[in-house]
Amino acid sequence: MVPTAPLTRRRLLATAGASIGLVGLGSALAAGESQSTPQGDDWPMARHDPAGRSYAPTATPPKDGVRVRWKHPLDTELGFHYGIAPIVVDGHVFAVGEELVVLDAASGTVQFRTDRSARTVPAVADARAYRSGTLTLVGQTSVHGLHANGGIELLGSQLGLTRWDVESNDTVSIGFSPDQLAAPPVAAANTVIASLAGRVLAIDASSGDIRWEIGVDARRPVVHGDLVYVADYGRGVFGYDLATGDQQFEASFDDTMAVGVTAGPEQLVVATDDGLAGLSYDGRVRWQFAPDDLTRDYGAVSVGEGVAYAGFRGGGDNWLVAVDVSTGAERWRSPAAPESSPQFAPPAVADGVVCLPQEDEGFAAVDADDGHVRWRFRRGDVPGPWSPAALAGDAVYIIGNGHVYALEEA
Amino acid sequence: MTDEGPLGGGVIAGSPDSTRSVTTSGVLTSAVQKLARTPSALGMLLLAGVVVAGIDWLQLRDPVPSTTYEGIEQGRIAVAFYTIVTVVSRANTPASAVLNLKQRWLLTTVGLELLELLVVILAGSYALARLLSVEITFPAVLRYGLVVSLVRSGLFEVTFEGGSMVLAVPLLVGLFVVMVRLVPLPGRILLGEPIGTALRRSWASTREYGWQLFGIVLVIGLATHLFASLPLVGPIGTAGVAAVHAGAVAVLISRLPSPSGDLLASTGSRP
Repeated sequence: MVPTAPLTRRRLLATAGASIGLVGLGSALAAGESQSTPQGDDWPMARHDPAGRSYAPTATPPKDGVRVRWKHPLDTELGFHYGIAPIVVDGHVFAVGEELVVLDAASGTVQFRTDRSARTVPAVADARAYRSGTLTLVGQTSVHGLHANGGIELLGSQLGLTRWDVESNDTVSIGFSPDQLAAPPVAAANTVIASLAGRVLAIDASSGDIRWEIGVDARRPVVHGDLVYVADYGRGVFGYDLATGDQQFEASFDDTMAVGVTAGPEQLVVATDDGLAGLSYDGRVRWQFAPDDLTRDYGAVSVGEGVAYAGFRGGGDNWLVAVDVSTGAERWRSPAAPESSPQFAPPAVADGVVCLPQEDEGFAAVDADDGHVRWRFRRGDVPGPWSPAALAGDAVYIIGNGHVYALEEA
Repeated sequence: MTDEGPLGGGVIAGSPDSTRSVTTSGVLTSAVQKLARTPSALGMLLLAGVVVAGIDWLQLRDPVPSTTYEGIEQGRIAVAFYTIVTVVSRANTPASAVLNLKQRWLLTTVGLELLELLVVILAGSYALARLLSVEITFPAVLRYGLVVSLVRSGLFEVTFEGGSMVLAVPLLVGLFVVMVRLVPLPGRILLGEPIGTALRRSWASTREYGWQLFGIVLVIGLATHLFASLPLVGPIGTAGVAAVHAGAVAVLISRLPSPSGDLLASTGSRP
């Protein structure tokens, strides 16, 4: 069910004292810590990029063994499913749970922390008017745009952290999926694409203005070119103009339902309720991968180096399956399956390695060529759950065991 | 120059015009009549309204976050009475949104906010001085500007959020008492009185006219809120209400008793 009440901008900042006199702020306010836009070695949002490929082309994660470079405590909600993945932007690791902690990616030293919680992976988007990006947190009924550099630190508090807020008065629609994590925001072209209360919103990352909104109950949208693609269960895959929200693309399948989408370089890779499908950008179905012995759920599909990686169920076990995206043929299946609660976690791909949290077996990296396990990481007798990874530079960043970890080659 | 005396009907400051009663409708009617005889006051405030509306238009379209006036369309009922004669802006930039702006947008944002403040101060000063038939002096405008800046800063804005009525009702009553007792304040400042003196005299002169002034506060505050709720032209509408407000202040100064009868001698501000 899609709620119909309008979203409203709230004056959350306009309480007493918020609009202090601007005289004299001058250059002091412009002299905040500079932070470059997300690029290069960054992992600035869930599944790495607007296309949602979970593939970091410049990262070189550990291949033959792993050790802890640093770790830092993080207040997270205890649960049985995998947690919220960290992101990495301009040498800083952003980790969110019951608190927001920003750490130096190299040393793990705290840059700032604040009592902000979120229900999903944050994202950092370019903001036209600002010298630093907008850190976007999605709550149950709201989206918050924060200064990615933390605003001004005063006596241990972050003063003026918030840039803008978007709130919905709607109640959150409860879908039919077991997904208990909110859809993560996507940062693309100075815009934040967020799914909130049964709607997809395009929010100006700088001003917080809602550019457009559509009533689609979608998982994480993906962006390719000028279009935002969403999979709307039961209806198909739709593409909307990033600038205007006008529908420009529609495709559906005769014999299966689209539950998620990843934008590959040459085609869309659609997660269906019985497998995967390749969908060209002109709407033609190029291939379908739906073996009789495998089933799957809403888990995300990663696409890197010409291969799609996704979790499947079959024969009483879970599997990580690699599928050639040009032909739809299975390359291999590995018993090192991604964590499946609440749904298959997105594998992270870089430099011939696929990193993923595993159910009861710690965090693992498998070889992208044949699926064999290259290394596993556990802490003591705590097998997990671990979050999906952010791959940046030569390190793997994950959250689990009440800590943020930076892992490096042993 | 109006055809009425400098302080209303030829009555000198400090000597109330005892021939006219202080009633809500009477004061507001006289205020409108006074405005009709002093069109430049109305014109200046309307011009300020146009400028503020233009600034709003720019702020709502630039990439710097701004908060919009929460008006009647959002189910909010408010008595938007600010004591000073002001034009209400529909777009405001939160202080936190100014942090870390690129230089171009920092200059633009601060510049627009300052321009808006300046326009409101000058238009309000001019309108009050014309309606009071006094000369505009730099010290008076400076004092008035200081009060306008403080009020518009939001430092005195009180917001009730989920509080109990047990707490809210006494606070609201107290706020209205302060509003009522300070209705003549902007006019007294333009007469040349120091802020402290203007506060004391406003407070003292309104002592026996609480309900009448409460009516004026209510009418002007509600009208301001209604007009401020209008998209785009809201500030122009509030400028019209501000003109009536200025007229009412001028009328009240001529009709309310002054605690000291030597105003002219003490301030020397009368032309």
